[in-house]
Amino acid sequence: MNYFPDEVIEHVFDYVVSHSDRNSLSLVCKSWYRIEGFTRKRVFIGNCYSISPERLVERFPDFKSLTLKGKPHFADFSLVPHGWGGFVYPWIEALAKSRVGLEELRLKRMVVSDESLELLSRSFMNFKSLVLVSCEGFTTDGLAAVAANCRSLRELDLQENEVEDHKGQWLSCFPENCTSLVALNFACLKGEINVGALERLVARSPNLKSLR
Amino acid sequence: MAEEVSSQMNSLSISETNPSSSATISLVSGDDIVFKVEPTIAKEMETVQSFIDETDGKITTIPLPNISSHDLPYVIEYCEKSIAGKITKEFEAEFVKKLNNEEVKELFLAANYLNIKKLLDFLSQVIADRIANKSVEYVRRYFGIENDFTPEEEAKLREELAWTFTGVDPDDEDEN
Repeated sequence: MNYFPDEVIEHVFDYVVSHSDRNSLSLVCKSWYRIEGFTRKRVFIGNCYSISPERLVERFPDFKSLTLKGKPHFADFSLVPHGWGGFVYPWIEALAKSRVGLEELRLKRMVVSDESLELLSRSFMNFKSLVLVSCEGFTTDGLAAVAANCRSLRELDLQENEVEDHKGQWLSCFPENCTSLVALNFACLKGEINVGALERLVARSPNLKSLR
Repeated sequence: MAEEVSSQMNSLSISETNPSSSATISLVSGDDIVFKVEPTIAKEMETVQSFIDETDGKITTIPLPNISSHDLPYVIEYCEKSIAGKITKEFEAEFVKKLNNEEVKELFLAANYLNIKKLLDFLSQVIADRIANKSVEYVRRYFGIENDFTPEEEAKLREELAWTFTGVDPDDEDEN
């Protein structure tokens, strides 16, 4: 039987990406639990109340991508009372304080305030991707902050959110010379699109591949 | 033994002494079989090359006590393909098809010892593929690792994984 020293096995860990395979590695033995913890880049949390942000950072200090889910699936059928919770603000606040190098945030069925988006946009230097699915509680003002402050933003994907639209000005808030956008999806916004602002945005986004 | 290896790898000349081959490098496996390789092959193996460099090229016989004569031909084959620029998906698929789990692990450790980055990356992916979607118990057996968690500790961690880090909603299928 071969002996795999820790620094050697770490190399294999780099190639194990799926959440469930990473979970299995962490249960093999104590030393693998430790190595898996500090090498995990992508974390999935199925229920935002099942763990505290502090515990998340303690267990995965170097994570870059976080998927966080709020309300349960049946919220889609209006079966969850108003005020149930699922607020993202405490998460962003705690992650900003702990200085993690967050690059990607994917939220589903969470309450996202403009304040949250503003804090997010100012807290993580290398932030690249924001995906909001079935979220609520924010307006295009919050999106404007993300557009203006996240200078490395590659992906902004808004799917089936309830967004209060403050007249399309947010599209003008991306950096003026050149943006890093690769994918932009705001099809769920109901207000009128400022076509001029969108044209100018596309013109200064040389890497843009997907627009919806 | 040498005969057998030779027939497997007829592109290699295997001999204990060959005075006319001063330009070639002799790699000596842990079980004392000598493999003559071109200096360009040695260059692919950082550990071997730095050994040669350190002795200003005077020493061209390099003992590799951690690598068996069973594994070394595979390593050499990969390096030959690599310098010929012929590492293709097809070659890698054929290459790995020949290897059982034990051999993959041995070659991985050999690639690590010799510091051959490309082979190490490739075998890391192979191992990751072979343990994909497998149970914790399978992974332990695969690597021969003893579980040092107490049953209570393991139960607690499994619970945290199930409640927190695993998708449970019907729309989580693509998350795991």
